[in-house]
Amino acid sequence: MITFLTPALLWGLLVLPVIWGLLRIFPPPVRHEQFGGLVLLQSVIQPTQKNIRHKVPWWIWLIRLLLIAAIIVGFAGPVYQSAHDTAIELDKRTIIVEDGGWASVVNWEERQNYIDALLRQSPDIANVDFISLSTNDIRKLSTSSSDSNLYSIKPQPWIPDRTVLRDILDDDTYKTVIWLTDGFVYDEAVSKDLLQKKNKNLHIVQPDKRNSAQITLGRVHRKTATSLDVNVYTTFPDIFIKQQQKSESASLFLQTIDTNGRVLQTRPLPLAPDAKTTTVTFDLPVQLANKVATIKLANAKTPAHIALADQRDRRILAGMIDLTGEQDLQTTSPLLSDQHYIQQALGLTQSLVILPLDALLSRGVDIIFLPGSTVIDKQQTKLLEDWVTNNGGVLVQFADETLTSDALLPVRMLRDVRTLGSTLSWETPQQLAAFDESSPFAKILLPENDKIVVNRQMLADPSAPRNNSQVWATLEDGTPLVTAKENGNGLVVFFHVAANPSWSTLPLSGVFPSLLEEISRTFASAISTKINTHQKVTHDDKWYIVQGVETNATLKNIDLSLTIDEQTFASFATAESPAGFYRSTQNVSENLRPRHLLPENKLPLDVLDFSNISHVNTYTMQQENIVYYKKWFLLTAFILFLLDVMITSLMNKKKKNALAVGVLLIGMCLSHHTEAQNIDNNIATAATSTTFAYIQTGDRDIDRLSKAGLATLGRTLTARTSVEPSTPQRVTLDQDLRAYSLVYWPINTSSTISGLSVQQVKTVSSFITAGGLLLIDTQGKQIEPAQLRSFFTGIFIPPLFPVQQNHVLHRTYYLLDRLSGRFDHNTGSPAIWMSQPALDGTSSVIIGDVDWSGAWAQDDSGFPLLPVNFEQQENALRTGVNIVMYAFTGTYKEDQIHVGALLERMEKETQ
Amino acid sequence: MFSSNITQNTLHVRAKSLARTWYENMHTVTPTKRKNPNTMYSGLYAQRASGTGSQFWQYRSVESGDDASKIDWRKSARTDEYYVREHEIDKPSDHLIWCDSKATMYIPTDKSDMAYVISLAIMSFYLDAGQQVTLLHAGKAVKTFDHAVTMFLSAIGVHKESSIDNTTLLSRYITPGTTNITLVSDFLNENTRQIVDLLTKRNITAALVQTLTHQEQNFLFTGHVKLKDQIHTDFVSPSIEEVRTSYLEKLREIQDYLSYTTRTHNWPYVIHTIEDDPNISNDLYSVVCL
Repeated sequence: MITFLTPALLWGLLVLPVIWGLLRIFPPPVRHEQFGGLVLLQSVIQPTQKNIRHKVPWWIWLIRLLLIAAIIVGFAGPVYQSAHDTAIELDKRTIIVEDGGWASVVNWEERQNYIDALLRQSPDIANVDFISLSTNDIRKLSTSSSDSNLYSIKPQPWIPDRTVLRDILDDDTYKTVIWLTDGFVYDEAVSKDLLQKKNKNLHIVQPDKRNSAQITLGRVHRKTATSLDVNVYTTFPDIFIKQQQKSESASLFLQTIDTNGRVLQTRPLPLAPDAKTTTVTFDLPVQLANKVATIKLANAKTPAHIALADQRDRRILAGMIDLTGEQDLQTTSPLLSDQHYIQQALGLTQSLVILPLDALLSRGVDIIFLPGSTVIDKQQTKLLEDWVTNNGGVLVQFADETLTSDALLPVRMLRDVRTLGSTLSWETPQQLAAFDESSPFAKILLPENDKIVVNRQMLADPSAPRNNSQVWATLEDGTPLVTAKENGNGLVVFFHVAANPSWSTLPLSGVFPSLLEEISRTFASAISTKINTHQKVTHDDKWYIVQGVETNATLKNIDLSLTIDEQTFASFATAESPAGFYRSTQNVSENLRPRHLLPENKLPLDVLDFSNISHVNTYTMQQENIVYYKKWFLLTAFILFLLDVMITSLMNKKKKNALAVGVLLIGMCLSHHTEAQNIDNNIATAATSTTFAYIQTGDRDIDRLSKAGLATLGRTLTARTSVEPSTPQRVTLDQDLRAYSLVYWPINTSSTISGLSVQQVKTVSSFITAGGLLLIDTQGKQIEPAQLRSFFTGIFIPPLFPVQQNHVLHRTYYLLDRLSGRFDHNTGSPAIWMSQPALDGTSSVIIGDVDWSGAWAQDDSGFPLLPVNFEQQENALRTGVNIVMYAFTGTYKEDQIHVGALLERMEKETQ
Repeated sequence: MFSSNITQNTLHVRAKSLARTWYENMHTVTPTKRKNPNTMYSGLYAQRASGTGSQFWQYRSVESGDDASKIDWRKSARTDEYYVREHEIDKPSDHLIWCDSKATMYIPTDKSDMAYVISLAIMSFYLDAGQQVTLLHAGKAVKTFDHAVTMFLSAIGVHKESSIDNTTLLSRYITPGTTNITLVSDFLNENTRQIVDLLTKRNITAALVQTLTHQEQNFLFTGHVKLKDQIHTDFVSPSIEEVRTSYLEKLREIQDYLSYTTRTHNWPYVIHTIEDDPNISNDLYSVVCL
């Protein structure tokens, strides 16, 4: 269906006859000449009254009228919108049934338009009943005009209740049923039933494959403490991939989102044309992996684009037994208490709960740290032993003089404490030896200049049997410092020194947290994951939703006190129990449990199959295809104009003009019209406003980051400075770059450093000499100088020098200590090199390897595209601002006149 | 219907200045080009007959009835006879001027204007030389230049209203005593040959001035042109270029005929293209030096 943006302009077509009249006196113009010699011609040609106007061929008139018509129609803005195939006849006993569930979100507007079209074609029926299977309320839709009722209906983030449809089909109220399905099977029995009903005039409208819910995410699987998996299911992989290739937005990305909604990590989603299932793995540090609440598709549309992480299995819970006496010491002189050091060490990596033992065990801690000073009675010892052996707990104990029992120790201990380097001892204090390769600590490096010294040590009884106990760390004299032993399902670990500095410097050193982290990471998490899968939940547990899934679909009227039982968790999310995070009514302190929209064992969802069903009419909702024809009409008008000029010139015997126009016309047809115009437009924009450009590398992700990075930098500049660049442009080295003030050039190995062509060398050289600033970024890749040199062969780049702290680039706008990007050099060596300044004192080339675009790039909602933290991004952006300021103002800030202001500012900062 | 924008005053001034130019040129042109300058200045032309003129013509023997005082004694003394000295007869030459006034001459009016100016300038020239000038249309001699201008305009005006054919007009007014005539016309008529034949038959010396516009001479129209003249209805040609050849052929035919005839009779014949030489100078000077 063709519509017009400004149909009023079409009245202009009425002017055509008038224009036709006007054109009669238009070219070719008839000149009236008085001529005395006419008498001589009388014998040659008979005088005639015939009007010359009639001699203009009809097809010239046609061309001109078409030209005017094309201009009028073009400016009226013709838009082609594919018409809905709505060959369904409505009657008074018709009901329109809309699935309206999660999958309808994708093409909701289209569905509404379809229904609108359905209604409009039967204006003689006043009202038609409508029901959404997701809300189950019947309402009447008017056929006369666009019904606001229709457009107020919203899709819901759960699956439609198809049993209602079955009831409608069984019922006699309705003669004709039009079912707008989302195309998926949720309950096979119900679907089968539906398709076998023959008593009704059932019309099924299914979405176009290209425009249906194509991608669904499974649940978040936690393999180890640091890695998260999510399965991505594609319903029609081949169609989907074709679509992706066509669209501009390039690849899809998955993001891990923490509980506060921040993006932690972004990963591209690799899709293979024949794979229905793709697994994407995220590797995150433990502390970040613990925070992951959801993994979602960037720009998620439906709730199925969000995978929920089970928060119950995400954290390794460390615990310490709360003893009142110890607590006192903890509060009065914390530096003497073991607990303090353990807490400090663990605080860096994981959360620690301190509760009485019973509470600890019921809370399901994975690892318990037990300082030697902790006195536990026999009952508690038994509880602990049981927890270790059966529940797979990890118990970490520390030495103390008061340690009396050998229970839960890997080996039997000598009661005497070995004292080294005291006044009454021959022995000198021993140092911690490097870890053995078989030890789980093998990867931990000991500090070289800060040796860990042990003054007191508890020794194992040499006469006691080893019993599979392992030595994980020793002193230099070979005596053990950390021993461990598997105990049933669990593990007991013993530190032969106390957790406070009176025995050794270990608790003070940086090695201590590493040791504790290593223990929990390798053992506690592995064991707890293993146990969690066997976790049993009692049937009495009720759960209530605390957080629904937010997407384009709206969650409303959710009863927050809603309780669901255990079985429901394995089923599809419904209106009664929508997807989201639930908390147990039994155990409020327990972590949140996700209710998935679609149970993963049903994924990928089956598609409704109509191929064997003949008694039902099926229709496909064509994907809405909108084409704007304005430019084509105007182009046609222009071509007609040229054609007309050419013909007129020919008729007036002005062959040269005609030839010129002809050449232009043919040239236009042959040249790649739009491309050329695009580049011209771009250059025009660049020439009239400040514009940054990036060199196209061919790698979609890099180009995307470059664009997003420059755009973010542009926004930052607009917000903070008087530089207001327009949208960054993609350029190639084959076009003229001189209109751009700054060109960002990401060079990494994937963009194939194979040297430049002569033309490209010219381009770059002319850009540099024209005063542009070339910002080359090797994006963290180490590129050999020789390789770079050969790459730039032919381009005159002045010698490079490293940018030092006192360089003006550090203070062109912000006072910066470091020019940073995504990869920061902590080594203190300068990350950025610059070419020797030209005559105006400004360098024209800046080379760095810190990946600026990666650090700058933000998505539309302001989240970084790559995992960089706020501070890092801010610093990178400030660096970017300084670079841009350098490009525009050169060494302006080097002028001594600014020294006063700068010093004052620096003073303020140091205060 | 036919109108000329030129006023009496303008005509007067332009014709006078043109005539003056010719005078000036008279002094500068080379001697060979000159024709009898003395008589020119005196305004009298020697006639081959005995009369009361000052110019000596011949001696003859005394016949009975001759006055004795007429005997040239010096001549008679050398011989045995008596001789009488005879002078040539002195008679102002009678110049006839004919300015074509047919309707097509007014297309464009520049052309007729120029024809008027040329005609009047010639009249002025002759009048200044003391010769008798007759405007053909008026049929009577002109006395002074001012008189000439007035008469010229009214006569032409009367004539162009009438439908008398040029040939008829000429044959009516050319009396047997007419010796020379100056014709100013575009000569684009079909009856040009008849006129010239008439003149040659009567043994009249004629000077022909063909005034043409640039377009008439060269026919450079291009594109879609609608050609008009006052007599013929609108004439339109879709491709004027095709017509050009045949027009130029016709014109050449006329001009060839004219130049052939004039050459054989030793008549001056000048083609004047008005846009090309708006100041009319040297080429027309030959006309007045008949």
